[in-house]
Amino acid sequence: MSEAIAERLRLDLDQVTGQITSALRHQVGEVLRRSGIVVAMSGGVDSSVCAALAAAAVGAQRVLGLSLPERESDAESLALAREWATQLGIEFLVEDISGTLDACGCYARRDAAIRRLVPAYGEGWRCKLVLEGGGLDSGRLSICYVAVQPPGGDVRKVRLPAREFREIVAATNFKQRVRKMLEYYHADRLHFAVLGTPNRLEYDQGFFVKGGDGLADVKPIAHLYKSQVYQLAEHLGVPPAVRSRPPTTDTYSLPQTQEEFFFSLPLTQLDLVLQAHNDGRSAAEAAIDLGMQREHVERVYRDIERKRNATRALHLPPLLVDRVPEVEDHQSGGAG
Amino acid sequence: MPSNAVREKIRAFLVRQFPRARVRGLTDTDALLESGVLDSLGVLELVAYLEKGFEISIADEQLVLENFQTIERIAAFVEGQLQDRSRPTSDRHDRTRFQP
Repeated sequence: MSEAIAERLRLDLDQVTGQITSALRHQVGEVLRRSGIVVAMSGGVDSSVCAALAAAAVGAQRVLGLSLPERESDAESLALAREWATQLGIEFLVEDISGTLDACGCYARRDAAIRRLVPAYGEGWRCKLVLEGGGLDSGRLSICYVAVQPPGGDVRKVRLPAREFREIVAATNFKQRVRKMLEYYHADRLHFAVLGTPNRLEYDQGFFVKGGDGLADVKPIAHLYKSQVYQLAEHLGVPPAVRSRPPTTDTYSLPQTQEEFFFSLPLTQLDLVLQAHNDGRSAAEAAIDLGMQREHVERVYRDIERKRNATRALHLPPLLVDRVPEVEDHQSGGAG
Repeated sequence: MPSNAVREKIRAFLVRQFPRARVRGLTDTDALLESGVLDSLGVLELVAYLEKGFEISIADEQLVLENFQTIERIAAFVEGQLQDRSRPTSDRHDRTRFQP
């Protein structure tokens, strides 16, 4: 990364921390008129930064950290979240959502869709969705596969027809939506607001579930690039074990990075190209800055625009037939 | 199947299945992926349709940009697959990419 790019992404950490905590205090206390903040903690860098910012904004005693694991979660997520919550001095609750997911048919519906492609898929097998193709040097289209692994066996991949892809994603989205339901349960019980943790890359590219992790009252780091979130994490004292952990969806039983499910490029690289694109830099200029080929930058620019178009509806509030000006006057921001 | 018939069958599917194809008055040379008519999920739907509708089999290696960029290219790819299917096995050649 060139010095010029590093400079553009470098934050004045004290200033940014002050700006976010001040905004959070105002939004939660004045706009939402709530007395504290609920933040779901995944043990990842985004939610760890958000928990720290929430504690700094309204005081540790007015923040509830939640861990919402299910039977397919990585145990490390809970351990890291608990450790950081303890360091911050915030209350921390763990609610296992496996039973609720069972009741919704989350696992059964997903597994039924997988079994149509892999009839042997069953008890003890693990799975994940994988996006392949669409890389910088590839003329291949981005295509989604389901990767499955029998107990003690090797992982194999099967190309997903659209119907099965939709069914697997729809069933899996129960996880994000059940978590959000519990976040709002605790927020209502405590008269708190719910904090959403997307970074700019996720927010811009629509990497969230509407009514799930996309739903929140405040989103304090949605304007920050991922590399900036890491700067803030270090500044706020987030443990190295959290900062060095690869960003994961922690959604499927096989380990899955965000890169292999959604972004198809290393996040650090995509973050920089997104920033160059948003700054209005031409592909040729960005290629020189980033030490990449111009054609590769052009390809990523096109992919960024494609994802924006494809996920635009996720950001929309409910569409009305006619305006209701009395309510519009009090609204700002999009949906999620 | 005549070339025009293949194109029209593909166009009819795209217009029926994808709202953005209806809005745009789709031509044979419109860039389907770059214009947002097709996204990655749309490609999966199209592939399923082509396999069923033309009774062809599409391998992973054939899912390349060149084969799916426009109606014209999809039609050429399908025609190539149909020709390959009707040839004796020993006479088939690699048609993993669109060949203008």
